[in-house]
Amino acid sequence: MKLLGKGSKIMQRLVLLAAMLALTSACSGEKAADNQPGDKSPETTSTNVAEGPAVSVSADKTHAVQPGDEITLTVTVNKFTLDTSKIGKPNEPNVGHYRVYLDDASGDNFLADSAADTVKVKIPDVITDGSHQLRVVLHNNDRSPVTPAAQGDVWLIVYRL
Amino acid sequence: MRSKIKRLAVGAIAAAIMVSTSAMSGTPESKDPIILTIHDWTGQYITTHIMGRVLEEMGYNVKYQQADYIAQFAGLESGDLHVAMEMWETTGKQAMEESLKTGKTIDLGETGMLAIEEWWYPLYMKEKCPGLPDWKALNKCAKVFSTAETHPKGRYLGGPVTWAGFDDERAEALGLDFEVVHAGTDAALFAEVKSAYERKAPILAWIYTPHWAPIKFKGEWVNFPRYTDDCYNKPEWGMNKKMAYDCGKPRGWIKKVGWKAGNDKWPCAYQAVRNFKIDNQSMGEMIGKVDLEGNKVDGVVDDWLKTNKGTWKKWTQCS
Amino acid sequence: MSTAVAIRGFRVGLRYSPWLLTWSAALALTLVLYLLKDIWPTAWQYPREWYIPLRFLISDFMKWLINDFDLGLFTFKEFTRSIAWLLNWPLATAQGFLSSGFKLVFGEQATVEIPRLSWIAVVALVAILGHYAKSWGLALLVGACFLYLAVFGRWDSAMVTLSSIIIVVPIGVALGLFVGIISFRSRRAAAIIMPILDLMQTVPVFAYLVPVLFLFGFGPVAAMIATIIYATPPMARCTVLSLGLVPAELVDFGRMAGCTRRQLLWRVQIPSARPTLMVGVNQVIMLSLNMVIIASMIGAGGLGFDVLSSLKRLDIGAGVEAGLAITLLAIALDRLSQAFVSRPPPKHQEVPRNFVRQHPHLTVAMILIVGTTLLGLLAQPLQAYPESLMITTGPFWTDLVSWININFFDQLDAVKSWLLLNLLIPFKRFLLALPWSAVVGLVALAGYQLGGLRLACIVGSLALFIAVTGNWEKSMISVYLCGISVVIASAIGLPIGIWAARRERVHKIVQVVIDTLQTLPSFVYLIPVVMLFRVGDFSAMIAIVAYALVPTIRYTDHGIRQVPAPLIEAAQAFGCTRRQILWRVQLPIALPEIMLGINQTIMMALAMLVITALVGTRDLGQEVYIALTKADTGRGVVAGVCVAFIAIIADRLISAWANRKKKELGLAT
Repeated sequence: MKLLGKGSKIMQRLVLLAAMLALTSACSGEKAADNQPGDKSPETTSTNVAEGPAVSVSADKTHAVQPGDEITLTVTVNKFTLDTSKIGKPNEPNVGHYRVYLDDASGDNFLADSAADTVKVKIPDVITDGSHQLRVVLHNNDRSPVTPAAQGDVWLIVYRL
Repeated sequence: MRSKIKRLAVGAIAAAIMVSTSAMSGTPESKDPIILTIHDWTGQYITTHIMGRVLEEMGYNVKYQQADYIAQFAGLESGDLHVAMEMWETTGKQAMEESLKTGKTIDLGETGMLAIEEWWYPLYMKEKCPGLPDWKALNKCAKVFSTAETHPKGRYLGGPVTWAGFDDERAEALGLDFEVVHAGTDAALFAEVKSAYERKAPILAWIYTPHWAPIKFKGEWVNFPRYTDDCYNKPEWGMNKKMAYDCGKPRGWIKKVGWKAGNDKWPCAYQAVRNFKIDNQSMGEMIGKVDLEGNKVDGVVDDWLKTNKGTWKKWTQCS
Repeated sequence: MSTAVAIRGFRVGLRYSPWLLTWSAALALTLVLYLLKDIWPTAWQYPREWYIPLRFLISDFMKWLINDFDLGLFTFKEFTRSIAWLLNWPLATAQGFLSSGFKLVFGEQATVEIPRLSWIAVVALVAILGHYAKSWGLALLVGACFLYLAVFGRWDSAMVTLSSIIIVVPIGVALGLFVGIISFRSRRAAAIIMPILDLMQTVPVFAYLVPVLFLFGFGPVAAMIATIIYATPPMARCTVLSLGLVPAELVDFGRMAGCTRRQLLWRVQIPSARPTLMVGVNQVIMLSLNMVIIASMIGAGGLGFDVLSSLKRLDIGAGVEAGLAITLLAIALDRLSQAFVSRPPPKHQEVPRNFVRQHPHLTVAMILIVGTTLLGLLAQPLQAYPESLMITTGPFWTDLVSWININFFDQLDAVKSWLLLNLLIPFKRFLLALPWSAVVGLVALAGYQLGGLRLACIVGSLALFIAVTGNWEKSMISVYLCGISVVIASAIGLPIGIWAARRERVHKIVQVVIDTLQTLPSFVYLIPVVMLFRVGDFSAMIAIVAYALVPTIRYTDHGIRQVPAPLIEAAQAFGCTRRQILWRVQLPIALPEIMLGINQTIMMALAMLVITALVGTRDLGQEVYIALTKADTGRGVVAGVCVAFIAIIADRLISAWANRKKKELGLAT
């Protein structure tokens, strides 16, 4: 009887421990699925819009980028058609081109605009040492940005040597 | 009958042992294990394990030994440790030069990666302190970077004292209204950076690359006057005529260093180490995969070796 | 009667007017020296020219020892390296069984690999041991602890750590026993050995890490040797204590029965001292596991390395899990060793012929080992716990800390700033402003009052050593850090200890909590603390308080419970309320024991100094840490010895005071 008593106490504790662990790992399971800000891989990111066009970007060089370097971006679009010949023509739904912006630039302040699968951009000579963002923003034929906004980006680490 | 079967069995096992030879081309000069040092940051772990696996493919015995970054020179000089794959010019320059002078260690060339270590702030600080990254803007924003303990001076969180870097001297020579606080370890340093980054709070800290921190935390490095040897050695140089260290830290190489006698013991292996070259891009991607995406280091190393077979095969060719 | 004595004892202290005058004069002198600091700086700040460059002497000595010292047939270096080589064999064997398997090399090209023990085998083996030692309950507990290691993906590291522990503990126990027996037998030996043990226990581990590295090379063996140095002293002390506690009648009876000295020792004294000896063994196990993280800094690998590397990547979750793995391993080994001790002697039964019947545990174990190893060759999951079935709670902890950081940082920061500006920094400035000569003098004065001239000379010269080697300022900062932490730890710990002493349920919960707090590696909660409170003295203080809280609570709890029941009954008969009993009977009588608890708190606080250097303080701990990273033996040893001396001064003074109080209260042992 005594053994049973002792055993059941330990069993109680073990059951409690197991329950706690199960709970915490369940919570972690949820959290592990979420993407945390700043945790995204440096090469590809895409917008989280469920419907509508989406674009993702990858770059051939993201580390130790020097001012003046030329980076080749590979652009992949979803629910959108890139067509060079249509640039400047009237709008069509889900057809257009893209523009590459550096950091917070907008409007006509772009590094490149193109509809090709890959594009070369030159990193300006005047640039600070640190993290910089290349944003690829989808535009309509008439050079207006697609709404809702569709963009993909890549982060670079730039420093002069 | 029983003993016959026994003898047969023994013979069969012996034959099996003989047969299970590992195919190797060329015999290594010595079967003694080559000891590669491991530190505690992912980049170095990756570099060292890539090198170790290549040496094993060449037929050498390889052992990995954990050792402290600067303390390992004692082991390298005495022959307890044989090869260290990452000595950074930014922090290890003096220690390496002193060790090379003893004649017991040799320089095994650059790894091909280029490092920068400097005062760093997150991108969201640019609005609170316009004028950055110019170092002259720091004094205007000293209050923004200050804390209750350092008020009204700003607070800069530097690396452990053992990393040197001359930040205390730098702050004094450039007349910065900042107090230089040294974190005890890089873990403590990054814990604070992470804490501030999550809260979008002001922080000015020592961040370096190749490393996971500038990938995860988006920010910029302060633009100090460019480093020259004279800056560190001659007070007359630079804007402060009476003090040295009135410039940024050097940026540059990451080299390999090794036990001198090992060169005679395993000449082909040492040549392979000299041939080892990797760039910031590959290293940065691998560090990201491990430290930010949580992949296992050995898996990442395996993948690199598979994808780059041509590259590392060339390293193994020694005359 | 004793109650009256106790109450009188309190008042006796107040009547010591000659001492009161002496102390007032001494403090006045201190103030004068401080005010005169510009006129007579020598008394205020120890002049640089008078420093004794001990650290350079030691470094040079070490270099000579390693490079040039020739014992004729072989150099000193070869000698120590051969010891390391010798120790490597048992370690490699243990590792072969548990972690890496065996690789037999036949000739140049052929290798045969024998796999390590499967995880199932080890878990089951441990459970069998538990059942053999005590009961199914223990088997379940121990098995569950080891199962945790597998399920949470810590198996490989845990096995590396376990193989070190398996080798270190027997060596530590044997060495401790040997040294203890020698000290017990010969008073002269004791006079030499005891101070050395003191030093070994109080010098921070990091300080002798560098010489060990130099002498024994890098690697798990050096880590093992450092662990042995760290973990052996308690065993030696325990041996001396327990042998002394053997009842004199037993020894006399043994002599009458005609035992030789050796028989007396091994057949009478040691068996009867077994319970206390096992406390020593338990301490060796605990301390070895405490060392795991530090050992990993010089190449031990295993769980310590896991904790270190995950916290360096700010993977707090992984760090917590690895730290928990260490704690569970400690608990499992601790319970097992205790069970083995209190095992009742085997009942005398008719011996069955059957081997299986006679050794049921052994047979089951062997079947399991062979079975799982063979099956493991076929099915991988039996050999190594499959990754797909591993679970982790890591992200939960990391997110928790982030959440606290984002939501509560400002409040915590406000508390911290207030404490810093109003309590910590003023105290620090005060200590740094004290003239060194005055402090040495005051310390010697306290020694004289409490223990006579001898004590005064000892503590005075120890304090002088600190000044003479040029470590005064850093020592004062260490004293400030530890002092504040001890005060806060006592303020928290004393009430909890009292509460636990009075309520049984609270006692049980508190026991579990402090057990965990003691074995959980401090580095695990250091990183979240830095995230919340930034690098600096405050974070260091929190880490020290958390670690040093445990002895205060333990000793207070124990001390109050030890108050003799008749005393309390007498007080109740007198009509005292519970409160009065607490304040006028229990606390005064428990006071010596509580002071010993405070003493231990101080020891632990000082031991934590080097860990807190990892946060970023500018004190002796930082000196030792820098010395370790720069491989500067002299600097590390000198700074470490200074820490040890502070600990010894505190220990001697408090012990002397506690002993006096005990005598006054009539409780002298």
